[in-house]
Amino acid sequence: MKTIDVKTGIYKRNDEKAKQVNDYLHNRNIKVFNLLGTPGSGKTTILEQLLAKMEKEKIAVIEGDLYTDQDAKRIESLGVRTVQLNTKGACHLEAQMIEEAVQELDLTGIETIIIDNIGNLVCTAEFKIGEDIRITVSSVTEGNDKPLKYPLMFQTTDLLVLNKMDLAPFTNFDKEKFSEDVKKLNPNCSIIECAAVKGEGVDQLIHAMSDK
Amino acid sequence: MHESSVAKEIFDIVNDVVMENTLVRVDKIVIELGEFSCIQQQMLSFAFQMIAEGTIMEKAVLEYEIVKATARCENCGTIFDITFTDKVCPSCGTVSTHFLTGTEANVKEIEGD
Repeated sequence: MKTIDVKTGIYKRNDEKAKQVNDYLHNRNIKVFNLLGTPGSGKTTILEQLLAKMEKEKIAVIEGDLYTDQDAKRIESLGVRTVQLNTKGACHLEAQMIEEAVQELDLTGIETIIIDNIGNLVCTAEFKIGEDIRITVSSVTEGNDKPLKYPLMFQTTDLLVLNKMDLAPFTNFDKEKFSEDVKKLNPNCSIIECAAVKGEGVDQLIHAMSDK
Repeated sequence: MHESSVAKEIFDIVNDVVMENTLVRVDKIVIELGEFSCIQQQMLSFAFQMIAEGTIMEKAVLEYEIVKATARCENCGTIFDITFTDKVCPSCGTVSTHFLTGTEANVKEIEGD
């Protein structure tokens, strides 16, 4: 009977690939954002609002969905270089998929890539995909208890958007409890309030993204 | 989550070790899991059994070593236990974000012949 040391990370394959993707893009002075959040939290709407105010020719978008290219079409119609990834069932994106998407993109003049991840508060938190910054989008219609229920997502995010503030008066969302819980999980994380459909809060988000 | 993909990664990692060491049987696989790793042990063991069936790993038992989540205080240097919701230094009260341990997900070692 032999005991053999292995000492290998289970996520090693994905993590190494994520580092390769990140290094490849850094060598081209490209910053990468990973946009995360539950389905319907407003990720793609926030992305549209960001793109409306930023220099579009310097940004590329990688859209992640199980099925359809609806989101890629929305972004393309704004004149932004986009690649749609369809996982056909996989609930999260992995670094290998991002590498393939990057290979499809013309990176000439690109300074920023934003990855619009699959709507999912669980699995997407567990996989590095080559990003520099994670932006998690939460919304008042989801209830204020999600941070404690999905701690990994809220602990690992760099920026947190609280969206649909225009609907807050119609919900029982407790903003103070939400902030308190986020602070326990992620003490340095600031919360940027938005009402994306109205374009509110987008300037603050852009400012926070350029600070990171 | 993703216990089935995790099981597959473990299988591949151990399979490389099996080939390098020309093992004919694997009896135990020791997995280190940090408290923040969000991997469910029962589901993982079950998923691994499914994947390993009919291979020389089919009788291998997954044994888990849990790694406590700790942080080092950026203010006073104290190393202390943390949870998802409590990262307050017991010595000086500063909230820490400098995690030392807790996110591990490793194949530590195997036993076999």
